[in-house]
Amino acid sequence: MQKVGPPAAAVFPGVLLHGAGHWAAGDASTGRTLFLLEGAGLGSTLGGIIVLAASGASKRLVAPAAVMMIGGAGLFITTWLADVYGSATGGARGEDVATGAPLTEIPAVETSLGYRYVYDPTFAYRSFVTTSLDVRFGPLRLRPEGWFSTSHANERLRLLGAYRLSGPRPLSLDGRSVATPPVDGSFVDVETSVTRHAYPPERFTISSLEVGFAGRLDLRRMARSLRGSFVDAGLGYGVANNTYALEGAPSEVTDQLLARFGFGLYLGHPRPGGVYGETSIFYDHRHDGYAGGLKMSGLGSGVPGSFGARGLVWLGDDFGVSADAQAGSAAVLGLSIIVRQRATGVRP
Amino acid sequence: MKRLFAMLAVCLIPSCLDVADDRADRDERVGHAKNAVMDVDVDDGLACIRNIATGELRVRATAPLPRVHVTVKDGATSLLFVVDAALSDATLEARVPNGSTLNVVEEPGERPTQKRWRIAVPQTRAIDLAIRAPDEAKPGPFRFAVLADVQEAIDGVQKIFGRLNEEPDVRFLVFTGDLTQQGTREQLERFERESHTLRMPLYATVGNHELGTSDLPYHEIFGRGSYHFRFRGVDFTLLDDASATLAPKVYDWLDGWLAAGRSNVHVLAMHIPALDPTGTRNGGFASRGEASKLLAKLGAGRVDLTLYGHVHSYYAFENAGIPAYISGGGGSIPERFDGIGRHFLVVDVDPGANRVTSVGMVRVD
Repeated sequence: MQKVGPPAAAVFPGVLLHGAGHWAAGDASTGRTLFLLEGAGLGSTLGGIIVLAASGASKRLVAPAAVMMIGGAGLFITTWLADVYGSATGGARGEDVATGAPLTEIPAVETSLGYRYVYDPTFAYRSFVTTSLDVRFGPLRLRPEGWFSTSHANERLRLLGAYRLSGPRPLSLDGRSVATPPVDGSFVDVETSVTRHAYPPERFTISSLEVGFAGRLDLRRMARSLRGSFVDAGLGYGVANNTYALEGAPSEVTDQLLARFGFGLYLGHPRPGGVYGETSIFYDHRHDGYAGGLKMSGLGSGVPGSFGARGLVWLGDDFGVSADAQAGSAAVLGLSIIVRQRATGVRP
Repeated sequence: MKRLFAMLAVCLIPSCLDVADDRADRDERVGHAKNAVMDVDVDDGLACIRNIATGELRVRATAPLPRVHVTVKDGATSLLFVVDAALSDATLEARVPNGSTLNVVEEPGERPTQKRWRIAVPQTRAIDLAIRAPDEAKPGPFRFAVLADVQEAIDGVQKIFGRLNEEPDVRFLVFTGDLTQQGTREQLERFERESHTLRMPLYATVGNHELGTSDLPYHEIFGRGSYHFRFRGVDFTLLDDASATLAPKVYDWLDGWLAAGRSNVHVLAMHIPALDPTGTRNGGFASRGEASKLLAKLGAGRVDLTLYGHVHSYYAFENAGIPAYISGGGGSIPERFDGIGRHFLVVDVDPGANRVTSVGMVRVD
């Protein structure tokens, strides 16, 4: 009962009263923190809804209202998942357990090659080869990536540039740390990207420029019971130029709010030659790309973004496998193999 | 891995990717009925069958000039053909298929947009009915109005309809969705009753607020969500994009309608704009890629005007080079700080000159 009670309490009444699992396990402090954060999330979401409703989704207020709603929903969902996690692992009862730990020094170079299946009922493409190169120089990161349809002339090329304000960085090429190693996997990046998504059979191309922040908070910073779990978040703004391969058709500029949140777990403890990784579930508010926004039966179709899950497992020092799934306007499923320059993430 | 795949499945469940397919299937069934009394087929589904009884057929038109094929199977000697949402000056041409003209007697309708005609049932029992308009072959300019998003503001809709009735020479009203708050039968019937005061017929498509009930009675009461008709040399295409997407079947229909209207003035109306001019609001299609696909298709098909609702304000812009208007002025929670309020559009088209002459916004309050 001692083991079953807290996770059961985290499920119910914990789904409504976040932190109930920790309370049941005797960790009232963490329970209270989760409960207060849940309240903040609910308040933010309700505030956003009120602003939207009162303003008739005014173009002047819709972006801050959406940020309030998404941020609030993120807090609401992740605090519940954190309560379930801490209660289920035994951390809330004070046991020294965690599903895993982060890499505190990350690879300088990663390359990936993968396959993505996209089921979108409004497009004929299905199969894609995907590839990326992720290069880090200290706090700087460059990540070119491409998706290439194997059966249709459709391709998406993206170049991401980022600057790490804080958090894990790669080792230098000679294997020495270039900075004081961080205590965990938490980070804050400022990001910018350019994307060109070409749909030749459908006669249009979407080119976009985005700026924003992305970050991760290891929840060990909040409570010992939550070691091994983390939340991800991102916020930004994108503008896109749509061009049409039609005589005399001008291009048009659109914009979108970029926001996302996720909850994840580290799987295993990094060690030389070991098997370890991480997994997460996430919400992404963007409406472009292959997943698009969420279609639903009923009134609200089109406004929410997509939901997804991803996982990454390192199978030794140089080689890993990642898998992901996303559901929005389309279902996107993928698998990639990843090769990193060396097992730089492990301190002897 | 098992846990991971379970998690993936949980994530995929909320997204039903083919959310509009069922409504496209319903569209195909509109205007076709067979029972012991009669068989009815409406060309292109441009009227929904409201009632079949011995000696009586009642339909609601979704276009000015629908054609109906009837086979009377019981012993009725005459057929009362009642058409709601008809042009007030419409006439009826009744024939034996590929044969002689039948005598038609007009009876008084209950309102300007209801026509009642009595036809003697011929020995062959089959009748072709063609609704005609006195100006249908006239090449000159004409006007139509556009309205959307009444929803919960139904109690105040008579002021809008009254203002619409004051507009001269408007042949019909195109309603681009969100007639009701939830799309229940009671709400849809209430909206239809309110629209009886209009002196012009109302042709509607589905809005997202018509999807708030699982039994979806819209098609039984108002007919197809996606359809196409031609009036006086102008092509009109209305699309059901109430789920922020189009069903694949609708894309197939659209290809044919675009080809048919390529050399004419072509007006396209639907509820949700493909792209919301305020992109951070996401009041457009769920997928920006699909939105651009549709717009490229409309551009290639030489559509002259796109009309939308959904956003409760007024926006004039261009998409893929096509003039576009959002007009959600039916009274539901208005967008604040825009100085717009309740309104509708009046569109002047000149098929002879092959162009849309003007799109004017008429304020109600």
